[in-house]
Amino acid sequence: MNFKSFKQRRDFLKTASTVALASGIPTLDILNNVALAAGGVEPSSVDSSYKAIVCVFFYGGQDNTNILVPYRDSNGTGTTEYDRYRLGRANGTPVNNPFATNGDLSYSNAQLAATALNVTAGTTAPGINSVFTNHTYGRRFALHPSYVELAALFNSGKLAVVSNVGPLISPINRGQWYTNTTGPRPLNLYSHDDQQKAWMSGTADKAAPERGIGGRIAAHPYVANLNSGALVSTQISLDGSNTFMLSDPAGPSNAIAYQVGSGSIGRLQTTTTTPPATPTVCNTGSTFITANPSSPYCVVGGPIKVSNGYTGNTKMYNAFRTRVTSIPENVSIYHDQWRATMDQSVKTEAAIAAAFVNFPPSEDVVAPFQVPGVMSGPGYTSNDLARQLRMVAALIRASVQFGSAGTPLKRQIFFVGIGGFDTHGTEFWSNNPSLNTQISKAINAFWTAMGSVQVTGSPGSNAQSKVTLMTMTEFGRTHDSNGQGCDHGWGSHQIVLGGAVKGGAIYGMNHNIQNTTTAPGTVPNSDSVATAAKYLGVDAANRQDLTCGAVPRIGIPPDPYSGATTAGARCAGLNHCLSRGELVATTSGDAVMATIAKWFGVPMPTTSDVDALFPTLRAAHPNTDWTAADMGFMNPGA
Amino acid sequence: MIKNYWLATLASCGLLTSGVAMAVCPFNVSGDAASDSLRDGLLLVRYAQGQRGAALVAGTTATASTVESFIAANTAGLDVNGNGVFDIGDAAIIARSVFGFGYQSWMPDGQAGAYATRTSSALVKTFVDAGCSAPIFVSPTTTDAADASRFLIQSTFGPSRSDIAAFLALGANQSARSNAWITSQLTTPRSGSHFQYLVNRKAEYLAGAAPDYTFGNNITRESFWGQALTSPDQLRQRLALALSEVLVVSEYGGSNDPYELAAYLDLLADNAFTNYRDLLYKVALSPAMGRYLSHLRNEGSSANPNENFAREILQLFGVGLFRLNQDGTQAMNAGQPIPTYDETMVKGFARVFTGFAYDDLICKGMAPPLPAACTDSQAGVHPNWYWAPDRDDLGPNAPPDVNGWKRPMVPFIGRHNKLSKQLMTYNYGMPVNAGTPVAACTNAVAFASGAGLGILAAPVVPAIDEVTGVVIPTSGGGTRTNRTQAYDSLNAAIDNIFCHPNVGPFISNHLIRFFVTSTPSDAYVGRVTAAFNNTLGVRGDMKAVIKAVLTDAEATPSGATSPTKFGKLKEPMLRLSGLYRAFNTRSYSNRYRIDGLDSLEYGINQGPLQSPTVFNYFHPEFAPPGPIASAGAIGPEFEITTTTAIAATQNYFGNIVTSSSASAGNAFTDNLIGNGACNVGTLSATDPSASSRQHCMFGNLEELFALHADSSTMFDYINLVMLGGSLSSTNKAALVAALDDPLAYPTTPVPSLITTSPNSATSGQLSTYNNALSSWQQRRRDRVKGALWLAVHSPEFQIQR
Repeated sequence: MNFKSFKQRRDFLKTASTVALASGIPTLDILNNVALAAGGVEPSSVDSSYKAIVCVFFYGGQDNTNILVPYRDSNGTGTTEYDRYRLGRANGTPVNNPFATNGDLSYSNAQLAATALNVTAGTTAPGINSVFTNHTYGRRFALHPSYVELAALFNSGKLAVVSNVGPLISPINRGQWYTNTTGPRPLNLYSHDDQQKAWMSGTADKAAPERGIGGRIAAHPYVANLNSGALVSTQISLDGSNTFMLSDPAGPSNAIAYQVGSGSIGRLQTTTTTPPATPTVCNTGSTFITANPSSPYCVVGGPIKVSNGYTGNTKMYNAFRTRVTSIPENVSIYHDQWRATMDQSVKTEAAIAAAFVNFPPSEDVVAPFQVPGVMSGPGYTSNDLARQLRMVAALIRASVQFGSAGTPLKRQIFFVGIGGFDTHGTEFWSNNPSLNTQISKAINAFWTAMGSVQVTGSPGSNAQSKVTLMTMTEFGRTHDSNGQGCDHGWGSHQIVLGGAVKGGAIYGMNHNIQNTTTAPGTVPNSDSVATAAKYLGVDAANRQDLTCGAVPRIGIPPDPYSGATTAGARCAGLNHCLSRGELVATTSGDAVMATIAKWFGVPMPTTSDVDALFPTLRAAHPNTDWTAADMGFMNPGA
Repeated sequence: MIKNYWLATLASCGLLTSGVAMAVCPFNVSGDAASDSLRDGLLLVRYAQGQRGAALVAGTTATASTVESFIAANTAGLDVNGNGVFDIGDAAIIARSVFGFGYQSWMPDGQAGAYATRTSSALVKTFVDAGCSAPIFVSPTTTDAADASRFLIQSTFGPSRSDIAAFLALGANQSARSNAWITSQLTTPRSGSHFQYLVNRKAEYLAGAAPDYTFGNNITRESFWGQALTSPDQLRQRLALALSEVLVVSEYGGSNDPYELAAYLDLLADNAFTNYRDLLYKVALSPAMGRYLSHLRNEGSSANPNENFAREILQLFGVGLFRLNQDGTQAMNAGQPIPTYDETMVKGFARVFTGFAYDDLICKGMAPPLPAACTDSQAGVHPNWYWAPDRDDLGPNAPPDVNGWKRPMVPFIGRHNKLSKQLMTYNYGMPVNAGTPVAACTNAVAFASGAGLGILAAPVVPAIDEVTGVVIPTSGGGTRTNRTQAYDSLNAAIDNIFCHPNVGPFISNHLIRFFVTSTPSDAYVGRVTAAFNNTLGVRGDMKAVIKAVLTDAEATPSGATSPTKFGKLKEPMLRLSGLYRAFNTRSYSNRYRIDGLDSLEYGINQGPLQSPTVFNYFHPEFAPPGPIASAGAIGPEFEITTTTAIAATQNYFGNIVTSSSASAGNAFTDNLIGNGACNVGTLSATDPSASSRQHCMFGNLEELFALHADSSTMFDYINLVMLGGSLSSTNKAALVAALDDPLAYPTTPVPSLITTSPNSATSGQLSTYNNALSSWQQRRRDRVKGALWLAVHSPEFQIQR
C-alpha cells in the first residue's frame, strides 16, 4: 500500500502551467489578473452568518507517534516518558539518529524543543467523560518537529489537539481487546480503505457506508434550508470523490458534492478557449463563429476571440447541452449518471466563474500561499495541500455570491487531502518530515488568508471566526519500528483550528506511549517478546523493566474510564496500547465532528437527531448526553 | 512541391504518343501507350497548373480537348491525396509515380498537402492499388456490425471499421464470430516486450545528440500505448490492463524505475492467459511489487516484519475481507458477515513475505570469501542484500544490471523469518458450499482447514531451522544460499490464498466489471466463478475465465437481467484508446508519446500504471450519488469522473478531434499538453534518431471524409467505430441536425474550376480554383471534425453498452 501518489501526481501541474491557457480552464492566476486589470475587485468579506468546515484528510495513515510526543514529565523536568518513547521507536539503536536506515523512527528530545506546546487550558481532573479530558497533569508534549507553524497556533490559543481519536462504535480498552470482552469493534480495522470510510462516514459498523458525515450535515434540513437556492453545492471537494461527502441521492440537490481542481475549476471547453493576456474588447475571431455567450474573461463586454471554431459554435454546443441534463432518459443508469454529472459540472462552473469575476482570488487571500517555502520547499517541489487550501480560500472569498440569486452563501463544507503517509518502509524518513512541513505551512497560510477576509458589517473581525478546520487520517501507526518504518494502527492525534476553537489544549486521552513489550502472557503472541527484547537491547531478566506496568505513569491518577482503580496498575488505566504500540482509540472521530456540527448550527435536541447525524456516536460514548453536551473544544456561540 | 527543374526536364523530352485507351489508373490521360506514361505526368502537372489548350498538350501530340474533358470527368480518381480536388499536389504525386519512384517517395510522411485526407504514401498507394478508388462505407441494414462493435469495445482497446469487417468474416453469427475471435486471440503471441522497447529507446537516447525528452517512466507509458493501440494481441493487452488494476503497481509509490515498471507490464501480459496462481506467485516475487508494497528487503528477523504486502495480497489480490458466496454475494453467518482472516494471519503472511530482495546474479554466484562489494553491512558474508539493479556504487564486481529489474526476487539466507506463520483457515463446505476444490488444492485446503500436515487447529507454516546470518553450505552446486525453505513457505502461502473459495467470485466480479458491465447479476458472476473454479479440472485458468466473461448471455443489453443496469462508463484510458483506434491512428515515428494523461485538470485523470493507490484509480464497489446509487447499482469509474475531471476529460478528447495543423489538414494529433512531442518538421535522412523524428499521431479519416456530404451516413460510420452502435435514431437525428444547421457546418458545393487565364507555372498551386477552394476544404474538414466533436461529447461515447 502506498499513498504517496496524490502528492507526486500533482507535481505535474507545476510544469503544466504553460499549457493552462491552451486548456481553456480558468486558472486562479488568470482570473486574478483579469479582474485586477479590470479594476473590479470587491473587498474581501464573508457574510456575518457564514460558517465553513474544512476537512483535511491525510491519506495512508499518519504516523501519530511522532505527531504528539512526550517532552517533559509532570514534574516539569523529567524525561521518563520521552525516554520510553525513544526506546520503543529506536529499534534498539543506542544513539538517536533519525535519518539512519536502521529503523530508528524517533526524534531526539532536543529536536522537539521548537515545537513544544504550552498548554493554556486543562487543569480540571477528568470526570466521568474522561475520554474527553484536556487535563495533562503538567506533562508537556511537543508536536512533530515539522509542525512549527501549527505549534505556534496552538500556543496562541487557536489550535487544539484531539488525541487518540479514531473510528469507534463501542468503548474498549487494552484488556478488553485481548480478552474479547466488549461490544462491537470497528469493521476491518487496519484496512486503509475501510478505515477511511469509517472516519468519513461516522459509521464504522458498516462495510460499505452510503453516506458521509459531510453529506449528512449538508443534507440536514437546517443547512439545506439556509443554503436554499444556492448556485453551488454546500459541499465542495478539492480532492476528488470521497466518502465524507456522500449524500442521500434523494435528498436536497444542494448537498450533492461538487469537485474542483486545486488550480482551476472544471470548465468545459465549449464557448471559449483562450483567455486574453490582457482584457480587451472581446470580439469574434473565427469566421465559423456566429455567436458566443459572454465569457467571464471578457470584462469589457462581448464574446472573446476563440481559437477553436468547432467548440465555440453555439449550435453544436446546444446539441451537446440539450442532451446533458439531470432528467433521466432511462436508457441506462450510467448514461443518466454521466449526463447528470456533466450537467452539475457545467452549471456550477458557470456560477463560480461568474462570482470570480467580481470576487476573484485576490491578492489578500492568495498572497499568504505565495510566501517562499509554502508552495515549495526543502523536500517537496509542489505543496498540493497548499494549492487546494488556496482554492478553498478563494471560494470562501467568493461565497458572498454563491447563494440564491447571487446573494451570500451561509454554509460551506470543504474537503482537501494529502497522501503519502503509508510509511511502512524506508519512505518513513523521506515522506513524513516533508509531508508534515507541507501540512503545517499550508494550514498556516490558509489561516493567514482567512485573517484578511472581513466579515460583512463587523469591522475588525475576520473570517477566522467563521471557519473551523479539522484533520483526519484513516489510522495511526504502530509505535514499533518494523526495521524500516512502521505499520498500520488505529488511534491517532488530530488537530482542530478555528477562531471558535478553545485552543491551546489537548483533548482526549493524552496518555503516553507505552513500551511495546509486555509481560509474558499478557499478549497472545508470545514470540514477539523475546524478539523485541533482543532489539531493545535487554536480556530476559530485565524484561520486566520494559513492560508497560513496570514503568508507572508519572503522577497520573487512575483512569475511571477503564475501570482500573489502582495507580500504576499494570497495563491498565490510561494504557490503550496494543502489542506493537498502536493505540486503541478512545475518542471517536464522530465525537469531534459532532462537536463541530453543533458549532455549525445543526440542531440536535433529541437523541434521535443525534442518531440521524451520527449513528454510532452514542454507542461509542455512552456517558455523554449528546443532546446537551459535546467534547467541549468549541465556543458554542461563536 | 514540384521542383521547377523537374518540370522543365519533362517538358523538353518531346514525348511521342500512340493511340491507347485512356484510364485514370494507371494515369493514362493522354491516351498514349502506358509505357509512355511520363507524358501523362506532364499533362497532369500542366493541367493542375491551369494550362489548357495548346499549352497543355505542347510537345505531347495529345489532343487538348480530349485530355481536358477526361481529366475534368475523373477528378475523384485523380485526387490521390484526397484533399477534395485534383490539383498540383496530386499531379506531383502522380508524376513521381509514373516516373518510377518508389511509393515511399511519392509523398513523404508529414508532407501531405493542406487538407489531404491520405496523409502518407502508404495510404496513397493503397488508394492507387485499388484502382484509384476507396471503399465507400454503406450504412448497415442489420445489427451484425453493431453487435461486432459492442463485442470489440468490450474486449479490445476499440475497433476500427476494418476490425469490425474482419470480425464479421469470422462466422455466420455473433456467437460463432466471438468464439472464433477469442480462440484466435488466445493464441496470438505478443508483438514485443516492453522491457526490450525500453532497452532500445535507451540506446537511441544515449546516441542522440540532443534528445527532446527525458528517459523515465514516460517511456514505459509510451511502450504501453504503442502496444495497446497497435498490437494484434488485443485481448491479452486488455486483460493485462485489467490485471494491472487488480494487482496494482503504480509509478506513484515505491516502484518508479521505468525498466521495473516495463517488466511488470510484461509480466502481466506474458501471463495473462496462464493460471491465476501463476500470476499471484510471479507478482509476489516481482521486484516492482516488492518495491511498491515494500516486501522487498522485508527484514525477517525483525520482531514485526512489514505487513504491507501481506495485507494487500489478502484484501485486494484475491480474497477480500469477507467470505463470499460463489455468486459474489457476501456470505452471512447468523446475520453477520464472516471475516476471511484476522490480525494473527496478517502477521503470519507478513512473516512469509520476508527475506526477498533483488536477484543479484554476480554476488550470488561467487564462492566465499566474497569481495567487499558483495557483502552487506551486517555480517559480511551475505550475498548483497542491498544490491539493486541501478546501484552504481558497489565497484566493478557489482555493476548496475538493468536485467535485475525483471528477474524475480530471491530469498536471502538469514533474512527470511524463521518463526511459525499462521495462514488463513477456511473450509469449502462451510458456511456456503463452494464445491469441491480441484486436486491441486487438496493439500492447501486440508492445510487451511487444519487437517493436514499433522497440524491440528492451527494452519501454520512451521518454523524454519535456520541460523541467522551464517552461511549454510548446501549440497551440490556451490551456491551459497539454501533458498528451499523460503520458497516452501512462499508456496504454502500462495496456495493458501489461491485455493481460498473467495478467489473465484472475487476475480470474476472484477473482470466482469472491467470488461462488460458495472452491475452484473449474481448469476452472471456465478457462471464466471464456475469457469474459474473447475471448468476443465484446472482451477484458475484465465483463458476459461475471460471467455466466460465475454461470451455470457448477459454480456449484451438484450440478454441482461436488468437492461438499464447493463453497461458501464468506459474508463478514460479506454475512451482515449477507442478514439485513436477507431481511425487506425498511428504515430509517424512509431512512438506514442502520450503524456500528462493523469492530470486532473489538463488530462483525463488516469494513465497506465499511475494509480494513486493500491486500491486502484477507483473502487470496484463505488456507487456515485445519483441515478446509479438510487438504483442500488455500481459505477466504479465514476469515482474519478468528478465534476472537474468530467470537463477536463471532454476538453482533452475535444482537442484531439478538432486540433489540426496546416500541413496535415485531416490529421488529428495527440494532445500536445505536457510533452511537446509533435515535432512537425522534416524527417532527417542523416539523423534517424528519435529526437528529429515526428511523433505526431494521425488518424486516418479518409473514409469519413469520403462521406462528408452525407451527415446521416457519416454518423452511422461514427456510431459503429466509436459508439458501439448504441446511438439511437432520435439522438442521431439530433446530431445530424446540429451539424447541418446553417449556423454550424452545413455542406457547401465544391467550388467550380476556373478554366481560363493560366497562372504562373512556378507557384501556381491551387490557382485553377477561385479563393473559395480553401474555404470549401476547411468546411469539409470542419464537417468531419464537427461530427467527431459531437460524437466524443455524446453519452454514448462515454458509456459502453
